[in-house]
Amino acid sequence: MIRNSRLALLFVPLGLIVLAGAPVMLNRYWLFLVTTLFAYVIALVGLKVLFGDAGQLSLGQAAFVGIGAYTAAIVTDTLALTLPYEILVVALVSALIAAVIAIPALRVSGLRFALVTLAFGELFQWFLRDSKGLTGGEQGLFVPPMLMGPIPGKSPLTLYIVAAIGAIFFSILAWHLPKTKVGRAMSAIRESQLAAESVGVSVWRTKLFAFIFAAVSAGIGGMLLAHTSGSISPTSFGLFSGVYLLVAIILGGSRSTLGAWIGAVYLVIVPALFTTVGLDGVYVLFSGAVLLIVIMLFPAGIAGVLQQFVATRRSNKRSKRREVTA
Amino acid sequence: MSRSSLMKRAVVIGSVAVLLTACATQSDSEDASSASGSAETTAEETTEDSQDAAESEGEVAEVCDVNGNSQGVTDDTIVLGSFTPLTGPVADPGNGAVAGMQVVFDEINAAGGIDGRTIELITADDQYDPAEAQAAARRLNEQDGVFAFTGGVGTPNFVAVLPYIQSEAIPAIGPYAPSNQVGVMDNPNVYMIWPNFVDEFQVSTRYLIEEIQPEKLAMIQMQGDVGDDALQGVENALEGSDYELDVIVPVEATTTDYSPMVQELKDSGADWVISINQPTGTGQVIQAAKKIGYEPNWLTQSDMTDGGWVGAFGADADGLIAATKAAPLSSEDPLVQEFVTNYKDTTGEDPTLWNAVGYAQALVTVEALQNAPALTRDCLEYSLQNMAGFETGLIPPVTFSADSRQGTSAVGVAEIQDGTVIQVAPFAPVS
Amino acid sequence: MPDISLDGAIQVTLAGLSTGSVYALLLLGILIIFRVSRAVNFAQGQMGMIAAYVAYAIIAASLLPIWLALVLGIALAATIGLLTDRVLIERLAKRGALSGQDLVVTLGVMLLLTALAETFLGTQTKSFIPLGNDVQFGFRSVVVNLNQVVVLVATLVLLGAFAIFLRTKPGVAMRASAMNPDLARTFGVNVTRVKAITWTVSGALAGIVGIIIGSRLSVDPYYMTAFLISAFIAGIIGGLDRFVAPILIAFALALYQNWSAFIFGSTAGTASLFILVIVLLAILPKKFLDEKREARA
Repeated sequence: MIRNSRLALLFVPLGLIVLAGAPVMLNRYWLFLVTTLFAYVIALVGLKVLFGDAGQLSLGQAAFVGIGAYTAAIVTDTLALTLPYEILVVALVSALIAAVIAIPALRVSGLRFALVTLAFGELFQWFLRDSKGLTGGEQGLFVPPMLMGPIPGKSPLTLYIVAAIGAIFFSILAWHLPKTKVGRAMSAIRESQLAAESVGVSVWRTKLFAFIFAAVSAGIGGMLLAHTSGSISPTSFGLFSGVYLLVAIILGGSRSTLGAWIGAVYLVIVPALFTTVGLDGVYVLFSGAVLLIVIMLFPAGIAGVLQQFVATRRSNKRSKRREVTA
Repeated sequence: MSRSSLMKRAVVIGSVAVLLTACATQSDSEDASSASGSAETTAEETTEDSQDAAESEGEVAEVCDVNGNSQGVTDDTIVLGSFTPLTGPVADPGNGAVAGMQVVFDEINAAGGIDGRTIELITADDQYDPAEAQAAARRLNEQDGVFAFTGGVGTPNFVAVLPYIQSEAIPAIGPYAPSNQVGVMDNPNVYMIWPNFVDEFQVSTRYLIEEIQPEKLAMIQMQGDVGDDALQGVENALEGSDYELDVIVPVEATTTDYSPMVQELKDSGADWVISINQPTGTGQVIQAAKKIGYEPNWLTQSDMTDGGWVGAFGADADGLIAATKAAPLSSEDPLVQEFVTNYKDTTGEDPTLWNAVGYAQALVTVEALQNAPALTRDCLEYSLQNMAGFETGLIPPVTFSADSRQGTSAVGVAEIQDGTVIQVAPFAPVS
Repeated sequence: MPDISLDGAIQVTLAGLSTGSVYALLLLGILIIFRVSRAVNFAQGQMGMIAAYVAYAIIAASLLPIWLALVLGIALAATIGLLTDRVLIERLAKRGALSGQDLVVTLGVMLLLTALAETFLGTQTKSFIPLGNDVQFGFRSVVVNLNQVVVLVATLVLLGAFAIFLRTKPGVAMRASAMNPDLARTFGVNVTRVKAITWTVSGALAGIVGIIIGSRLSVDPYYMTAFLISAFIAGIIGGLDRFVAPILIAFALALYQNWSAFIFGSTAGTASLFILVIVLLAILPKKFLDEKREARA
């Protein structure tokens, strides 16, 4: 806990300065990338809670991102809801669908749970491709800009600010969660569901909370992705996307909110950097190998490495102080 | 004269000089605006000329903004962008088209370029994926600062970028993205030189029922816009005839095992199967059918006239009929043969359909650039809209206008005979 | 609902058994690894893909006779299996790592193999050699090809052989290593060697499956994914630590898929599988669902 605070003290002021400066320093293309990054942070934060904190391996997070994206597109287009109501509807729809899926899904755990989330993801894909009238089928949908009254919902700056606020809000939630009662229950379940049950943790309710939290995060992230890109199609929300989300959070560090940020950088910024330098083809190999290397050498992800680094320096300082006083 | 009066005179002359200069500068800027005015007038004059010529074609754009957006244009280069699959399932067509485009641009650059400016083509890999295409298009426009989009292969990847193209008003020339959303005034910045699948299947199905007179028809249809367009074309052709589609078997982009589908087709007893499916899937369907002892005749979209496809699957697909958007490279038309020889001499390889696609895309682009009154995006679009009957030798003559973005609508029919693609019906306008 | 003739019914059922045998072989490789290492091998499908793709490249370049190219492909897959065990899985086990990391590691291997194939072998789908798929014979209007028959027979033989193997001395050694490695060691079982051999055999199995499927469809970096998912579904429903149940379910699954595709159309075929999975898991009584070991994050 103290380590986390240290890390936070280091990164938060730095982060805020960068956040404020970005719209000024970046060109439109990179601003678009950073906005996309914020959207992925929100989705990955959800996975951090469900997988990192509560220990439930879900392959369906990308499908929930898709649910958010398509709901946002449909709601803005047909109902012309303004942003606050849009957020409400997206959150509600995500939570509701998660609650329904939870009925079969939370009866099982481990691999079987992963299987149910996979099955749900594939069913969602089939639904998207088959329901041309509602979802635009294979081709997908064009997404109208956010409706924010007098504020131009289309401007890249507006999108950036809204996404940044969302990312910070969800990060604070996820960072605080392990300290709460439900957060501690999640950790207990992660270590051993059986043990947690025996000490009186309401396993089903805790898992449901984590599952719904993950779904709502994914939904909001999807909503932002939809408005930022202007058009959505089924391929972005399928099995491979679900796998990449998992890879990203594991790489970043599944138990750390910072891990969600690092994972988002890995998903959005790193491939763009490779392309800018002209090494498109190498990125694929790189991303294949990097997961292996990180897992073998740093099981707690990159965030884990940073935490260790900070902790080592603190203990070095402490031992140095002792030397002096001795 | 006394010094003071000399001084006074100097002051008066000085101030008058200053005033005159100020007036002159003012009228300079007035001249400048009237210069653009006169440029506009010149454009109007040109308009009137070509208006006479193109009167039969419809209305023409009257004004073109000479001071408009001209990003990507410098004193010695014009930077064009193309987002297209360079890796992924459609990589071969994508790379083939880029190669074809580059041959044209290299030729033009060697001959002095466009008004002394060399054409630089920047490509971005969209992996045939809509989300990647979005990022690629943005990168080209915002990071690389391209003047216009040219070329490209693939429908879902291109269509995903349509809202962006429209909001940025980027001219996009000749994408190989058959779709009912491209080539229409809803997306006025996209200039289409390929007929869509409605046209293709209407013409080829009509040829089938009139010339070949099959016994029974069935269809295997990829889900999505592309499949819907194809079905529409087939139904257009079958309307009023004695024929009907007995069975329509759907497939998805993600299907890998075609055995249940071909079983259903076999059970229908059809001797001709109409197929709209991505090229590799089409080949796999034909092979899967063979495995259960079902060998009907096939009618497909124009992608199957590609030499690469014929090389991989042609042995199983003798007698296959397909619509053609570009002339088959075996054609005896002198312009086609000129392209084939030219391409082989330049690159040392026999051209494929996709090289020809890229070649045609680039020719149209170059023609539009050369005829643009000024190198701004608006003037480029103006030039495109004035294109009338432009002959590439590979596709039917290209004609646009102020309210038409569909440059060609003629389709031919070809047949695969002994591993070669032979044209059996010439290009005819789609009625 | 299409007309179901007897011949059509037989054809669909045969197709189902044919696909089922492939699922079963793929699943067998996954099961034996789970037995000895308690690890879930997500890379099983891609190991097969590499075997087929490399064999294709060798054949296309006409470097070696076909049979040799195939053997090399299978050997390559077997080697990848061995390396995964020795370099990655064993190290994890020694570290006493959080369980569930094997999932991530084999996921990493899967991504790496995909990337290698994309980069060095290309992403365009290519036709593989027929391997008996073009030799057909039939009765009435039912058509069967040599590949289907050979694979089905070979699968049944292999499964039977494996079942017998489990009762032999080395087979018991394998089961002992899986259940209690330390105890097995005290009885003189070289647990490390047993694991290494199992992973190698599993890799070879994957290679064989990859080549069979490649000969039936085509090869590209992604063609094994759907089969892997189906095999895993069968394994997870049947229980990865069992043998008869998951294998039977693999066959049943293939039959179910083919029949529902035939009756409801191909698009429904995909959806029906996943609906089945969700419904099954929703209504099956709890005692069938409890896992013997939880897989954790």
